[in-house]
Amino acid sequence: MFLSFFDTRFDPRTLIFLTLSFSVVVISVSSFQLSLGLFIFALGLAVLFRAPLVSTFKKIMLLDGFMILALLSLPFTFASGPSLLIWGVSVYLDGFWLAVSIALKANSIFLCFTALMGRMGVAEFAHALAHLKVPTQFVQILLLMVRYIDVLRLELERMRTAMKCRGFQYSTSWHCWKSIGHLIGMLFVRSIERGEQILTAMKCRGFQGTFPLLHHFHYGRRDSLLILSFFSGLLLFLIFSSSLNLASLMELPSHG
Amino acid sequence: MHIMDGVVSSSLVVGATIVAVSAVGFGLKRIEPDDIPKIALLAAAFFVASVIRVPIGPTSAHLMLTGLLGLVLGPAIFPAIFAGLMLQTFIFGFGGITVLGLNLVNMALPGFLAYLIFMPFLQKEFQSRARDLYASSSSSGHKTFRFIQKNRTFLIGFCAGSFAIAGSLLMVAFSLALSGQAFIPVAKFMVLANLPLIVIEGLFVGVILQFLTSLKPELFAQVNLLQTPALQSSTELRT
Amino acid sequence: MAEAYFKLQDISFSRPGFAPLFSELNFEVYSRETIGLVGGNGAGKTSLFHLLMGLLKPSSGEIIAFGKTCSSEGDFLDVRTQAGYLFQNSDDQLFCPTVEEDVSFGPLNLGQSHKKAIEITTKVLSDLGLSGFEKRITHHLSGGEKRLVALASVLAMEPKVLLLDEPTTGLDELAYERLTDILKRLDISKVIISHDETFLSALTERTYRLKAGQLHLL
Ligand SMILES: Nc1ncnc2c1ncn2[C@@H]1O[C@H](COP(=O)(O)OP(=O)(O)OP(=O)(O)O)[C@@H](O)[C@H]1O
Ligand SMILES: [Mg+2]
Repeated sequence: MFLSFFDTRFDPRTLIFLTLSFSVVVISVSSFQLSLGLFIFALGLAVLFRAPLVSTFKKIMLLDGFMILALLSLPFTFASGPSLLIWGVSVYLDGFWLAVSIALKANSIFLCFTALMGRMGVAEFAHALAHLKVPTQFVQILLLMVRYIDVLRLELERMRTAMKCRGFQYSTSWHCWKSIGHLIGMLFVRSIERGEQILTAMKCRGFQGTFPLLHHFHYGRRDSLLILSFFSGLLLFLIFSSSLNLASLMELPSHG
Repeated sequence: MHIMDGVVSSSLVVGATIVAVSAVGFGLKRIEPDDIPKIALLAAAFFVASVIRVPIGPTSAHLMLTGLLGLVLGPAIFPAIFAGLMLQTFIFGFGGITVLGLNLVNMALPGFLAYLIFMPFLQKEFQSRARDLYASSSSSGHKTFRFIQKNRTFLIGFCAGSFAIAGSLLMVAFSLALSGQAFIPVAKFMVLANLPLIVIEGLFVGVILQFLTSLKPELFAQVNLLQTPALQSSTELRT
Repeated sequence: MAEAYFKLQDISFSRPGFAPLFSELNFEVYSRETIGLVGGNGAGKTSLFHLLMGLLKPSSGEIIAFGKTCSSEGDFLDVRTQAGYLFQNSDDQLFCPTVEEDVSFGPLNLGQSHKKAIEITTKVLSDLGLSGFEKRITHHLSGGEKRLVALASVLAMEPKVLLLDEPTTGLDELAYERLTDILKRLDISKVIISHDETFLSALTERTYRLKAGQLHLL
């Protein structure tokens, strides 16, 4: 009964609002134990909403490679505070804990996002934005992009196949680079022309500059209940984790 | 070159979000309903093109092409890139939620500046060049003259592309540095590691711009700087 | 005895989640012969070409191309330089700004010098009656002209076999006649997919019908 509450469909606007609020809380928190508390809270959300944890963590690993590298380098480059000598390399504790706290924050937000919004379709998301008073022009751009990204991707794939058939191979040469440039250029030309065709087709069907929206959402009691329990839970976690005294355990610097 | 959630300080996040929202609003104001399909499709094409890897010796790199996007879209670059970043975050959970605004500013602002700076040059180039560069072989321009003409467009593209990515690099590095002492070494490293990319982006934007100006010159002809270039061409058709 | 360029032995193929497209299919292409290929929409004609070019991999069976058994991507790199594939849709094939650049793309991939590539291009274009098209913007050509340019870009690689996927669609009478004429004069192997019987009977020695995953000689 309790768990099935989280399986019901909420108003997408509620979910977007909660995700955003949680993200704001996460980044405005500066102590380590609060970040840890929020991370555990997000983990709990993911369990309650039955987010696919394994594939979520795989996705997290795919996060921008450069940023992961940057995080990994922090303990070695941020020369401040006490340091340990491990295999002849000094590892700075301040840097280490900073990196850990950033990783916690990024992952909390991502977990919360997957838990709350993971099951929302892109089109639903876009419509929810429109109902949140995001300009319809922007929403329309978003919707058209969603619709045509795959079409363009297949077009690019076909052109690449055709290049392969004519013996094209990737290499570091001007010929190769120029060909890739032309390929991208061609993709743009086709996308522009397709955009023109879409406009013509829309006009033929009576388009006069406004986009009607089909989906309508219903904000209900369950949404209020979710918002209420979400924020009370969040508050409890914050109070509980700030009463913990982790800092003395690991000589924590508070950053921020 | 995305910054992820949790790295930058919250005041920077707030500031960047305000700038981003006003920039997107500014861009949207300059869009006519008729241009929306074109802008959306171009944004989609940039999204798709970003999977292409350019081989560079033993490694490879992705292209950003924001300089090009700026030249093609003008002010509409803000909503276009914002939509792209949003989709990236939504579909792949990649890029961060609170830093959406910061990433948008870091990517799109240099692209827009490139547009403001280099579009006038492109316009001049258009006025001075014979209408169709590639079109008729019978057009009796001198060979070396045509060669220079051809490469002027390339040069403008090169500058716009390099400028935009260099700007983005600096802004990302600056955002990191603003977030704390700890990130300064990382920021320095990032700028150094991406220096070759500045040249490569320039080369690609140059080639692609040359391509686009010969296939779709109407995209660049006669632009009022603060309006979407696409808009200009469709009004031309209407009158 | 003529040399076998392609030998498909007991090829089966299905796309994941779809019914099998080919089951134990056998097909051979010898030097200097012209083969017609007909079949309903969706019968798998284009897919067969993709198998020959290594763009799709069979689930079982063997592909022997130019005397070599081909299975990996690397094996097919060689095949692609010796077999010229004209796509069903020329727009997928042509991606360079000018005709000249498009036609010389193949020779450059084969490692020809820039000068040689231009020479080949000029010659192929004039063979196809396209002299003077060198600087034209490919994208702005008509459908039929694009067809011929795509053919030129394939011929520029001097292939031993031509794989033509519905080469006559969208051609006017004049271009149609010209294409028939050009293909008749070309002394290399050809496999032609077409729905046009007169076109096939004018060119081919044998014609197969692709039906239910099998080839039937007509
Ligand atoms: N990328 C793909 N993914 C899934 N199915 C595909 C794909 N490409 C083709 N098919 C399917 O495979 C079958 C054979 O397609 P193919 O293009 O080979 O047919 P064809 O004989 O060339 O038809 P046509 O005469 O229309 O050109 C069709 O049922 C088609 O729907
Ligand atoms: Mg077909």
